[in-house]
Amino acid sequence: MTRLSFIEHALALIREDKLFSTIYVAGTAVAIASAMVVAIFVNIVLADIPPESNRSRTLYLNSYYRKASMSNGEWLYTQFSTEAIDSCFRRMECVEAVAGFMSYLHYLDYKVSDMDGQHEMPVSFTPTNTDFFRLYEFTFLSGRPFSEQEFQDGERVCVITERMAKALSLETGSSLLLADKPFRIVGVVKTVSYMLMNAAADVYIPYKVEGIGLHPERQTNIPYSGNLDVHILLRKGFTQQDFMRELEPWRQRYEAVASSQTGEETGWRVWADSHFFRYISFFSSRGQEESTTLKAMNLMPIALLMLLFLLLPAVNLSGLVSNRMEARRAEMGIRKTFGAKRRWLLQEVINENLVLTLLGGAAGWLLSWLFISLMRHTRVFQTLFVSEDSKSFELSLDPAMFFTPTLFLIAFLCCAVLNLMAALIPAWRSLRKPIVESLNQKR
Amino acid sequence: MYMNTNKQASTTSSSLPLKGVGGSMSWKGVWAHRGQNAFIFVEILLTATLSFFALDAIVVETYNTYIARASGEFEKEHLLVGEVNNTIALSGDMSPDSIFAPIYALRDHVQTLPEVQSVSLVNESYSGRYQSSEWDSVRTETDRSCLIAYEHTFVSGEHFFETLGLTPAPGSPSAEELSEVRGEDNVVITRSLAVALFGTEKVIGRRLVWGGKYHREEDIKHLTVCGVVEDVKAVESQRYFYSIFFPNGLWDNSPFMLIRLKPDADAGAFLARYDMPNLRPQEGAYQLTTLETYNDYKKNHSKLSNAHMVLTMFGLFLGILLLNVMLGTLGSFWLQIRKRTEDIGIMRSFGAKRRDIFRMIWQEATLLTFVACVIGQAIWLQFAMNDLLFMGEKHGALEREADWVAQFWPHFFTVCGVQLLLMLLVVTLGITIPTVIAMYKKPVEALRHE
Repeated sequence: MTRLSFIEHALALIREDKLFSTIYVAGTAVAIASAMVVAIFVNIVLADIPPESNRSRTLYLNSYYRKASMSNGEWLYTQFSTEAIDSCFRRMECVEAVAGFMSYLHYLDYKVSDMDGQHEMPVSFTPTNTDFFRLYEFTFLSGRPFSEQEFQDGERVCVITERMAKALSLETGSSLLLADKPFRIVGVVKTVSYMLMNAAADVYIPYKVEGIGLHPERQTNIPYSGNLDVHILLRKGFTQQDFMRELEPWRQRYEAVASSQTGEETGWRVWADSHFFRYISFFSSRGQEESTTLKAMNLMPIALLMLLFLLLPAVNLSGLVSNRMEARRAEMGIRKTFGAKRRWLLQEVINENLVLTLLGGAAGWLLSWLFISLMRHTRVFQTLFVSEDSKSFELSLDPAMFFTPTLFLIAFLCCAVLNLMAALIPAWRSLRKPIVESLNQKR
Repeated sequence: MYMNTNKQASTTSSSLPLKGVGGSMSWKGVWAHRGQNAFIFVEILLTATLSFFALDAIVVETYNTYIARASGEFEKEHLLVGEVNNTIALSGDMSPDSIFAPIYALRDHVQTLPEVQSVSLVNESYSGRYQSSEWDSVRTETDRSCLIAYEHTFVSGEHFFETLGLTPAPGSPSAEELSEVRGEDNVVITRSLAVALFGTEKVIGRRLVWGGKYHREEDIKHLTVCGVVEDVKAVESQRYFYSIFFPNGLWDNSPFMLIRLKPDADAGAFLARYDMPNLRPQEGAYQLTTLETYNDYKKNHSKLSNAHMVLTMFGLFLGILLLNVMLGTLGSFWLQIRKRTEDIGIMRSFGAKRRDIFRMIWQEATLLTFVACVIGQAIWLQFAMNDLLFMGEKHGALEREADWVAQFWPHFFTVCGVQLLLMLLVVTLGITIPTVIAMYKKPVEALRHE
């Protein structure tokens, strides 16, 4: 018997008992699809998917300040100013790029039209700086990102997505009207799915552009407080802990300078969340060190949910395998009579079953893809990824969201676990029966 | 002819007279195939336990959203909602009078249209984009136990109640009079709130205490009830209809406009006829930039409620579990019935009718489901008793909960009942195909298996 002869045997069994095989494959497909939907969601949220290819090196900053005279000692939330970006974060050794951008603008009703004003569409746009294009690796179909010079001069230039370029018949070098002001298009990028929430927008412009109601700075006497969200790209080899350690002296220096300038004690705190902990935080609290153990703990509920989705069908499939083993008792008895060891037979049954499970697994993976493809048009799904106030969005699917080596491994593991859970106990129970009793069934 | 013990047991039980097949027969049937039934039993049991919390949430949210209805819900077919906006930069005199004058002119213009019955300007649209979710505690001056009520505002003198269609309760001033209520301390409340607080709907002039449970003492407001209107749902997923309407002045220079059309007017034709969104009296700064029917407005602009999220997410979870149970039952009973073909053949040849075959298998499946479900529910009871029953949004009532959702045993048994019915339905669906195939096998053909 060759190593892979169990495949032939399994295929013969499938042909022999089509009813059993169909029900088994359907049951497996449902189980694997359920588990894979969870895995794919987690993959979409966590994996490095272009243009968010640097998620594993990205930090998301939040800051709080307090001044005794203003807040009764309470910490108040604030975003960052351009000064915080230029005078602090950009100077840090572990930092490769500092993307500052204004994220709240999707609440506002901005529209873009061609220069004639003939064709108009609502847009989501991101006023940002040049580092945004270093942090998020957009695919430029034509043109380039706006330059540092254009950004510093507040030039009315923009980068648009392919979707918008097609909708309004625009191209690199032409212009559009945003908030009734002309902008020159310097680049067209491949459209980004709004499932990649941080990078997605229709138009990217320098936040230093004036005259369209952008206010990156806040009118306070807290120099580092502004209206900018800041995402940090760490240099390779550095971690969130390294960032926090390096930031500490900067923070203390800032507090001292701010306190002496304002004449009252001023506090400043910065929280830096890695991409993982920003989106998966069942058991972590701010300020806790982001360790691998904590990561594993946070993944546990997701793994348990996947296991649950496998466990119930496994019981169901066990019943089916048990029925089939009952039918094959005589065959097993004969083979044992001719010297087959119980371990071999067990392995063979499990291997044969694995073929069916893998068939079901493949069907399940496709089902999960189909399910997400259909679900993305629903309001509930959109709510998970897109702000309800967004006027324009596209929840397109990227192959990198579904077909990655990690997902393949997870799917295979799910199949293996399901197969073991489903086949091991009934096969073991059946093979433990005495040969005489097994053969007796043949009479 | 040789039969093993199991076969003998099933054949013996099957060949008994089938009229009035009872519980003991089903027990025997289930027991005779215990080897195969054990797996489906465990699956149903696990599903019953693990799906209870999801089903509980679905049952409660479905009740809150779709079943608990306010008796005085206003008529929505002839109600329109518009957004008034300024399209030209304002300059010159910026006093409130001069800013609001063109808005009132727009309102008066709309009021003169032949299809329009009444118009009301409001600072916030009712139950629309800015869905009323402001709530606070409310109590009488003599009782410390609180309820939670939703807060709405209306612009005094703007025909709010008659435009929205809120009917005054018996003994309350007319809708026109209620729309004229003014003053910080005067309010209009819903009938349910009046009854819950005072035990009667005739509460004009009675005093309320608004706030206090979640606020500092100085933020408490003492209010006088000036009118009572029929119940209305403040939030889609709320089963209590406790609302308070506070009079207010027009402060928003981009207000909403509620338009109530006459009963014989056609809302669709009205929208088409006046070439929205450019309805305005003359060339002026303000116009109705949008105008939709109330239902469309709510559909397009309301935020997705938590109830919908719960229903969808838990519904999917429950659906997957039930699909597994159905596939499990289908597979398990199909293989079982295939083995029992000869039993069925013997039964048919001794005069058993097709429906007897179906009844026998269905009773076995039902018994299995019932026992597994009850054990699963008993397991979940341990969790439920630790405050794990789903209560939905508890903003409606705080210390005076009295309906079935708020009471433990009625709540628990209601969900148990729904779960049992659902499981029976799923299991019945699962056994139907294999059983029908078995039923329609000819006795001769079935006996050939022997």
